Amino acid sequence: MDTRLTAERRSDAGKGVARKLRAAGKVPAVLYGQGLDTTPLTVDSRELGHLLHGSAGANVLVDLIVDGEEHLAIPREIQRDHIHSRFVHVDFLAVSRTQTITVSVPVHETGEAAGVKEGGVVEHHLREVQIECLPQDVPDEIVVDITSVELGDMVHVSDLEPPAGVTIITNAEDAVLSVVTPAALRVEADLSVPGEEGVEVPVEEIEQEEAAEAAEGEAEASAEGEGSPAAEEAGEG
Amino acid sequence: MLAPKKVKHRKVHRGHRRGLAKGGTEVSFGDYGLVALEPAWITNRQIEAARVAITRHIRRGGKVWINIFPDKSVTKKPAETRMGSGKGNPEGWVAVVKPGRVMFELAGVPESLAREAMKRAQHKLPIKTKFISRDGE
Repeated sequence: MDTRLTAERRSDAGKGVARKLRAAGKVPAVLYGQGLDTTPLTVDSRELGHLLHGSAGANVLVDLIVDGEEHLAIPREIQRDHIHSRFVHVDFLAVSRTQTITVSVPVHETGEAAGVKEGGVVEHHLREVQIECLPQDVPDEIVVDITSVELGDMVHVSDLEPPAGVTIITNAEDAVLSVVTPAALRVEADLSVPGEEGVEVPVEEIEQEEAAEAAEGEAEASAEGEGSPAAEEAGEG
Repeated sequence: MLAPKKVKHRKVHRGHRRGLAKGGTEVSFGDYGLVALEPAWITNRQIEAARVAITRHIRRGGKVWINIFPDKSVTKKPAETRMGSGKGNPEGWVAVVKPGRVMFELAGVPESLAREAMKRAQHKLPIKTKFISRDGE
């Protein structure tokens, strides 16, 4: 899906300028790649939001219009403010329709696994895989059918079926997801056991050190108490 | 409860809590998360209370991740003690949390159940928090 986005060339840089832009509903951006000089840009925050909330997500192919010139680009890095849910900065990578690019695409599963019907839960190990393809062939997602996955089985990257023209470059032996026994009891065990052990060790150490400190303190007090008026005054107070 | 197995220094400086979380700001493992909106020291008791609240509500199924660990010791001087004479005794463990930090994550349950479970955890924590989902980001 090609989408148009108008960007203005930006001459100033720095955090002060960036903050003013964000306050005005703009987002600082930058365009590079394909032999272009790195170009600082400004894009509209709302337009950018609409663009990135499409089905392609962050892998949307953008027709970036800068001073009337059109550049085919793909968002490379999107920095967000997670507290206020707004964009901080966006990198656009200029691409060519004839040259392959490397991007990450999400992996989504369909169907209910046979293992889940037996009481298991799906555990994800890899949410995204790296793929290599032409910019116009980047899929929105890679779908894996898990209906035949039994309890204890695992789906690997090699089990994924990429669309035509797409090569998965993530290690084929990496696990994508597995169906495991319900984790409720396992989580209890995992969290409570180390915690209990952890409390005991420092307390013992602390008690030993406190005992040593107390012994030292008594020795000092007895030494001072013999001839020191300050110690006597402190004792009275 | 969560606590370090061993520490290099049993008493540490209080430090500063200014600024935003640098890492751990995204839902990394599960499908839903609970994000801190304020800076705080979260004690191991509070973490444990929130975890119990979540696991009891989701019952069977689902998986919980705790992304914060109370690795900082806090000290306290005894009651009715004059100032001075050094730093107090270690009294507990806290995790330093800054705004934006995803503290808990949850997976394998429907969103409505996850929201309710996180709401119960929110009540156990001393700060304002926000429920987020992986899809919502």
